Amino acid sequence: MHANDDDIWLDHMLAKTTWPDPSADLQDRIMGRIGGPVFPAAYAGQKWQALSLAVLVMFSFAVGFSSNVSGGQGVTYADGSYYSDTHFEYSNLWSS
Amino acid sequence: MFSPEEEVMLMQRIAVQDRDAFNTVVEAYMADVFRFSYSILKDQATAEDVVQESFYRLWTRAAQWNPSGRLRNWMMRIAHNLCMDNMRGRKDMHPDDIHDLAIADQTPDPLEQHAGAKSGDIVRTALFNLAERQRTALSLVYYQGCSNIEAADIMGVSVDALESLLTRGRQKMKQALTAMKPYLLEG
Repeated sequence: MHANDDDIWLDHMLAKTTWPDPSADLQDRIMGRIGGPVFPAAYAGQKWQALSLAVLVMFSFAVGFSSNVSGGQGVTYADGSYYSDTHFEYSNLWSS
Repeated sequence: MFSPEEEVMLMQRIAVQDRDAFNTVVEAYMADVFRFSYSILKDQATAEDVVQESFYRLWTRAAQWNPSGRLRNWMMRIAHNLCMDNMRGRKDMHPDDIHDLAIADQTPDPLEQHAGAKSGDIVRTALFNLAERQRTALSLVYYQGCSNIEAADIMGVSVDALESLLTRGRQKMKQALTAMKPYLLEG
């Protein structure tokens, strides 16, 4: 085998070297070190949309709860019973 | 890999503590910095400590980055310096350049010793038995895709010195692997 063949063979062997991957939580640890939350960069542009959606959902729950408490969205049936998504009065349950 | 313009923008954002920009760089270079550190230190946990510290320094010293150099090479230089600091504190490592391969000396039958191992693992073991500077030079040029000029800059040596390290490292790798050539050709 010529010296050049040896070099080619060595290059081939070097290319076959296997390396372990870093631990799965290494990125978390790095972000934790700077005191920041972990948020995959691929989704970084969507972070504010996600936060806005979360705020909107919470706001919707708050509004819905508020209107149910005030009784504004319920239905009163002919027998006097009252029904809403979160509230049901069995006002005539025992009278019949 | 980012373009030079993207690197400048990312580093400007990191300099004002933009976590998204920092996370983008972490995702892009974490694995490379880890493998480079691991190839020097030969220990996963210590290499991960070096990676953490390297990126922490990126976070705290982003304003000091010189845009004339590439960000990835800057990260490698930080990691290299931290690896050297770590090795100076370890008694089991010899960061000199006269440490010969151990495989040929210690193993009467390398084929038998590595029976069952994958060829990639055997080559890595041979690499680990090189002197630290030869190993670092080979790692930068062959595994990190650095040019000789970039590798010399990262290691803080002249290009001639780097080429000398590469030549000697390759010679020793050949010596170590020749005895296992039949097995490696099968694997």
